[in-house]
Amino acid sequence: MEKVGVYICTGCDIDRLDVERLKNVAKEEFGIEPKVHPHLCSQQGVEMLKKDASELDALVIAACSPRVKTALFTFDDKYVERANLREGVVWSHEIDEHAQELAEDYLRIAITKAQKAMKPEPYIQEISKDILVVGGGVTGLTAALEIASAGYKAYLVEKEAELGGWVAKYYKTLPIEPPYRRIEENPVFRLVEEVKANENIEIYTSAHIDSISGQPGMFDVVLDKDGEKIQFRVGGIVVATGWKPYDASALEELGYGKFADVVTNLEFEEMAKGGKIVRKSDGGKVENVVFIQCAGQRDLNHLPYCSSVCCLVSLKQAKYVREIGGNAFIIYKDMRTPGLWEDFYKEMQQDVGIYLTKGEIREIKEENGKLTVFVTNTLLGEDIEIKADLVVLATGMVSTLKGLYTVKEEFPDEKAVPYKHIAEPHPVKSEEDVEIIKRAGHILNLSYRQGPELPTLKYGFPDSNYICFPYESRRLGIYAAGAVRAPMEIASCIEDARGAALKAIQAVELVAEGKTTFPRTGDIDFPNFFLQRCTQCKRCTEECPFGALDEDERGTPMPNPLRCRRCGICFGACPERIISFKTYSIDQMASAIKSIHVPDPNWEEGAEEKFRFIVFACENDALPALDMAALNGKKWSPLARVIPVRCLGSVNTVFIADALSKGIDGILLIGCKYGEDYQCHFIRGSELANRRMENVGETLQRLMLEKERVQVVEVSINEWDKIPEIINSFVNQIMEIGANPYKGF
Amino acid sequence: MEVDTQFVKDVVGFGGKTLKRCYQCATCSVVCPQSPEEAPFPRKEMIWAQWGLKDKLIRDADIWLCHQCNDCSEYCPRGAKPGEVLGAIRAKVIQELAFPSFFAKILMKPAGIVVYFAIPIILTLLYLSIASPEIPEGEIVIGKFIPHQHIEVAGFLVGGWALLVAAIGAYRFWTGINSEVSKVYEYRLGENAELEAVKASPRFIECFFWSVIDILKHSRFAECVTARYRYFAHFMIFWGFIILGIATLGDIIYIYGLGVEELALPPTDPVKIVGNLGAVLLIAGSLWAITARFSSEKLGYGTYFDWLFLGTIFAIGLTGVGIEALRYAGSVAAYYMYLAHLVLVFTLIAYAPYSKFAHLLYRTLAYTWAKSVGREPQK
Repeated sequence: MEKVGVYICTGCDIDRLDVERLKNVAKEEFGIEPKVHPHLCSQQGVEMLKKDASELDALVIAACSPRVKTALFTFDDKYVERANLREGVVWSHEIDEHAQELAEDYLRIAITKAQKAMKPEPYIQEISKDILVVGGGVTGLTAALEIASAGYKAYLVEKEAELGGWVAKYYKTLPIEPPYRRIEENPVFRLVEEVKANENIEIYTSAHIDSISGQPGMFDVVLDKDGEKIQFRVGGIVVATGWKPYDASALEELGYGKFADVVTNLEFEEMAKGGKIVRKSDGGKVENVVFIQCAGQRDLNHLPYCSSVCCLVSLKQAKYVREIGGNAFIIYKDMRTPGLWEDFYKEMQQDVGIYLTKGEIREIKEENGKLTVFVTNTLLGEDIEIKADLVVLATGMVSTLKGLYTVKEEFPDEKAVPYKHIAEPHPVKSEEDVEIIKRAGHILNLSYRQGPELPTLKYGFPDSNYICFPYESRRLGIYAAGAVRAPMEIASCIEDARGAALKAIQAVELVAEGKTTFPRTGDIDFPNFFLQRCTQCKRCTEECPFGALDEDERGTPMPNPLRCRRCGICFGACPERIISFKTYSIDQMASAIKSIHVPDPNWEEGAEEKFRFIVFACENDALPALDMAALNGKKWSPLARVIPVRCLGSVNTVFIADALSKGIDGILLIGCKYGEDYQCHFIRGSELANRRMENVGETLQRLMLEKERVQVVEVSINEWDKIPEIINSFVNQIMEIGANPYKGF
Repeated sequence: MEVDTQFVKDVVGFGGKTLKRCYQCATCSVVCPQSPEEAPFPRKEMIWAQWGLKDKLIRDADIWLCHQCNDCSEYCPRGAKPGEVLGAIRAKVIQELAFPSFFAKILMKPAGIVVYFAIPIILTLLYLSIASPEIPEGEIVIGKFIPHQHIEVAGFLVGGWALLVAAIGAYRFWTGINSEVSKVYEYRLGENAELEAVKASPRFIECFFWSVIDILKHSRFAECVTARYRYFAHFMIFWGFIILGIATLGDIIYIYGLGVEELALPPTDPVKIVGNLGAVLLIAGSLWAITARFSSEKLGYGTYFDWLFLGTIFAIGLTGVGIEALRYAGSVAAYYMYLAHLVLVFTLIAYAPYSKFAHLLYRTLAYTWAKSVGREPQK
């Protein structure tokens, strides 16, 4: 940027600094006449900025944190760089000479970054705003209807001949609306009729997806419908393929397969739907039905998790038993009816013919054609035996993604998997194993270099940044909804479908303007690759968490900018440094690091005391933690200069080299937690940073530098109270080791 | 295990309609001031009732250790009102233990009020037609209308019948609470390190004596917090009865000791004063109980079973004082009031083993048993 304006706000205690010295930094070191204002966020302040912005390319605003007043300090598409003098200096340090020097460095960094930034051009293509919905069950039907009523076109693809999914096989359903007390007549048929009547929904049944290639806004879908190929283009995708039941043949200890009268909850539902609840063994009358909860669930030998709906389903099915005049016994480990479902539980409990107790099944025996269920550890104070005509096992839900060949990294070859957050690495020993898994079927068949399906995390459910955005997946523009994403009942599936449909609509609208979605929503700046110098090391194509890069035969990356979330992990990975953003580049960051004033012990008195540190803080968890610590009055060493980055994964190791050669004594990287319960908003950025910095440690030792000078620390956004300790202990540790010997070179 | 759905429906019908709300959190047992620490109540009774386990509940002494303080109903997070449910269970158990049980069933339905009054009214009319007493002239002396010997005979007959039925019920109850079925909890290590069921010890008389002392002092009732009024109201009703009994003793001394023909005591007579004191306690106590029962929906308003008993006591008190007032006023209506009073007293005594009055028997036995096996309330 050529024309850079510098604005210093003196409100919020910033005037406790020596503002004249700050002004001199801009004037004498950069030749820019800065403007000082007592209250930049006021109406007059903003108006002044707006007026000046029309003449400028970039504005440097030295005031509060970049996380606040972002909308206020936006001026069309001018570049804005924020120097954090409030949370970063006056609120988090004692006001002394050190704090003053810190403020001056922040100003230097900001002006340098603004000068080196270039104007980004959005990647605008002609895109489709149609949305593909995969799966014609309750979730898919609702998503398609929501998409259509918002004015977009939906393609609904279902692999069976009929729409309706599992719910079409149910006799009655749990309530889908408040007050959640009554069992309802099946709502799915009404949904099917509505979908069929809607002009904005194009339906393909008995069809599966042959391939999907391209990127959001330009997904080229090829369907196979009974051998016939159908092609169309969509902008976004909602995956609503639902669940499959846990295979009950593994539950022999509960009598399944051994006794004819032991059935699963799904089989019992089908009996009810057919109007014939009778003993399977001899067709006789059913008087007593025992429901066994948590069958094959919450058990490390079967499904380790709870499917969240089975307690509700058993309560519902107990009412079916009462309808035919029988008694229902529900034996549970816990009765899980979360939230408003408590009202449903209370309502079902009122029936005198439904008997509930906690208990463990000791065994199930058969005598004279009748089953007896032996239950121990009951609430009744003694072991009980119940004679049953039918025993219903409340088995669980498994995602349709489980067992599919999803991404390459989950099926490692000889190398150890570096990504610890993959909880269940599939045991794959050979290409043959891979072929077997591939034949298990597919849903999306994406032509992505990284793999054909949505990456999964625990238990075969799709990986997402669950805390912030449950519907997001690791593929931009593709959203998971309903039981494919987590076990849930119909009311939640409907809500999920609405959420995912809205996210898909948001995605296509953003992509139409070349913008990315969560978490850097609205960013138009995408990475550029100077491929002439590429050495085909494949780090970027493998490490990209979102599969944005495909490869050609030689291994050269083929970027798909609309798949990209702009995390910068590829930027941080490239050893040749050929990847850059317009507003975040190697040159920009190197210059910013070099602009920091490192006191030279040869020339400046007292410079031995003035260690200098850089803290790279990720903008998702670390920077907010720093701001919150300052907000709460915490203070820490003024020797550390915080440079926010979009992700720790976007820290290229050349920054470390530049910093050390400049004389910086230590570099601390603070980012989101990684591991099994990872918080990293870009999935693996901090983990990669950790691995790269371990490699850097080896290099440092060869240069006779201590590897402790570069450290990576994980912090959660709620652990802001630990920030002072983290920074101060790092500072003290390095000060004990001693100053960077390359200082003053 | 057989579940008795009809039993569950019966308990619900007797006022335990919130029974099925219980989800076994055991807050009630923790809060109950009467409950022992070992296998406390009323949690287990709630689930036994939900599962229709009639046998266990008939043989359970714990339901009689409950005084319906309603601390449990106050704290129950589900509004299951264990206090009221246990009251309903007690009603059902009285019905099951009484002999003959069909008679108990009749009396416990609201429609049975016809039978309730029909029997004594018919008997009274029978007596009146046989004995043909005349309304005497002059001073109102009850004994001139119906001689005291007739009352004594009637009293012995009715009382004897009630005692017989009560004895049967008491026998069934006592064997029940000492049987194996109720023993989910009362075990101890005996010789040879074998678990022995604890039966009531031979120190029956001693435990009985101390139980009676407890009852006279209402010391357990005093522990209740929530429905505290019940302690006071019941104390007054209970002692009102005893004092009236003492006054009756005074009457007997006058008639058989001092040879008075028929009694018409003035209000200054010491026996009359004692009697009036008892009457005041009785009326005030039952009035308090009646009005306080309406105070809290959360604790439950009570059922026909409760109101029949309470109403009868209150009416007895009123009619008794009514007779006295009418006598002093010189009105012959006193004789008719006396007939009404007799009918009410009959219902109280004859139906005692079938009505809520039976608690006198079962609760005393339960206290005794609990003392003998060491089931004291938690401190």
